[in-house]
Amino acid sequence: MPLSPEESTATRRGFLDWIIYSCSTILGGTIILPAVAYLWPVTKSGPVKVREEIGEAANWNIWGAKKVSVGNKPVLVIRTDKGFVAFSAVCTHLGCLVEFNPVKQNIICPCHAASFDIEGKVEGGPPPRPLAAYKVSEVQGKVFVST
Amino acid sequence: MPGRKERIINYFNHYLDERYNMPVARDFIDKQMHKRLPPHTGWPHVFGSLSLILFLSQIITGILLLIYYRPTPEEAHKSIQYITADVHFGWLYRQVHAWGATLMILAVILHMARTFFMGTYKKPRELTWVIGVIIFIVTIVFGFTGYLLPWNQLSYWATTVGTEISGAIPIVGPWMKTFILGSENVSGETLSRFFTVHVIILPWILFFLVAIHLVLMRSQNLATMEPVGEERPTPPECGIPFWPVHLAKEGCVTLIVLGILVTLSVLSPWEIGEPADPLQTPEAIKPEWYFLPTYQLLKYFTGPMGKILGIGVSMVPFVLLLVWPYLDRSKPRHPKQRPISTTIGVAALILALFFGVLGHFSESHLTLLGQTYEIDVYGVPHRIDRETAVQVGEETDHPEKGMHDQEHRTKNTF
Ligand code: HEM
Ligand code: FES
Repeated sequence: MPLSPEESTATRRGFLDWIIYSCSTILGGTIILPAVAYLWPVTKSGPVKVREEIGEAANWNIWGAKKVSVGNKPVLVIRTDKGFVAFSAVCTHLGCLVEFNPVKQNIICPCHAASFDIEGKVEGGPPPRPLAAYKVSEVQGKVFVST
Repeated sequence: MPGRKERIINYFNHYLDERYNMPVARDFIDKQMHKRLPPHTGWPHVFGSLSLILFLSQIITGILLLIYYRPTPEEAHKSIQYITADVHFGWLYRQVHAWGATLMILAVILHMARTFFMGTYKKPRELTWVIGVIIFIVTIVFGFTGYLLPWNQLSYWATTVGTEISGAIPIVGPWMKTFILGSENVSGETLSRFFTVHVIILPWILFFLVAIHLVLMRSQNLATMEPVGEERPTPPECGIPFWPVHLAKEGCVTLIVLGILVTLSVLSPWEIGEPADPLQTPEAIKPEWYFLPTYQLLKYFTGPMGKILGIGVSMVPFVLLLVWPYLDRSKPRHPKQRPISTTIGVAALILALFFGVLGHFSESHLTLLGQTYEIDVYGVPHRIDRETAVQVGEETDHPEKGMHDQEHRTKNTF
């Protein structure tokens, strides 16, 4: 049976609607997606391993600590009575920088009163994880930290 | 013979009449000005327009600051110093902008409290309320992004802590944090992002939200105190005329608040602080007062799941505010006729105040009646014996016993 003019226009209109919606979606996508990508930060991951000299062992007292930037990351280096230890200085709670407390020989965070022991383990306060530890080596009297 | 002034006015009127359908426009403005508000409209109803005035003040002072401000880590702090020290009246505009931010948030909160306790969020004004809550959140984000711009120690580290919180959200958290910061930690990229959001994106978002909010408010008129569905139209002779009665009240409040703004700016100026140092976290960083309740609340959630739980709990008030009109579908509006929601509202305000005060005094010393107290992270005071500087405080059952003693504050020496 032939379609009446109304019915056939309705179908054609439906088809055109469909074309218009799909084209606008594709067009919208091509406009928006590059903008979203543009906003995504460029986080260049530099060399995976960094090894930096941070001082001389000779003029470093036992229970002396130093905060240094190794490969752009803040690192806390402490000379204990058993040798050097190094931790990421970024508190695992909310990102403040921890300090060595020579009186109690532990590591404290100024932000929410957390404390870590000399192995980086959480003693008290809110941090969920221990401090990330880094390797320290002593070569010919010089101290190196590798991240 | 009409005077010179009339002739000029007539000329402009004639010019417009010839080109546009002016009677419709004049009628519209006339209706808006002489609109009758419900009879109970009074002083509590001024906080909405006060928020609007403060927003205008922020736009004007913000644009003025923009002329000298430079959004880079090298120059931001110096440019603020230059604005305050050298630019003519620069100190004034910086202070009015910084204090204006605080007063604007206060005005928005008071306005929300007024509409809450008078039950105006109920049908048919649910969307006006929801848009209002979004306006509140946008205002807070304004404060958060603006706070970083002076690039001082406090703003740097408060932003670090604030954005780390979003990093703890499961799965999307780390992704969100990098996106907000523009890098792994607070950096020049973060400053650019916060700057763009603070001075371009948020002002326009707020502009459109406020416009919709006002159109909805005007087209539905203010709510009366009658229960939902029992509203009787106010006879015109009983209503309060917008002009001149209500507008006069708003004018009064505007003048008083401008006075307060300038007084605060002169008597209690905001400091510029030390320039940001990414290698040194200062002691006891505190956020702005409007973040204190959340800041304090987050401290009680410790352990591996603590962060996620804390974020979940601190989001509850905002979610509740957003969906409140759909939770409370009861009819009465008068606060005395709906004791449950009135109690919830008062309790929420008291809780916010309580945690805010705890947050404010936590990790500080307080001298009261000749006794010095050391207040720990949780806001619990411990009495300190002055001679020996050893605390004899009523040590409660806190697991972190002894963490808050004096040595804790000893600075690290290399
Ligand atoms: C609407 C247009 C606005 C523009 C163009 C603007 C612009 C600026 C600029 C350039 C600064 C850096 C100068 C400084 O720190 O003193 C700034 C800071 C700030 N802004 Fe805005 N702002 C606007 C609105 C707002 C609003 C609505 C709020 C808050 C509710 C706000 C809150 C702040 C805060 C808290 C600071 C830091 C103030 C300080 O420490 O001095 N701003 N704003
Ligand atoms: S950031 Fe270190 S305890 Fe919170």
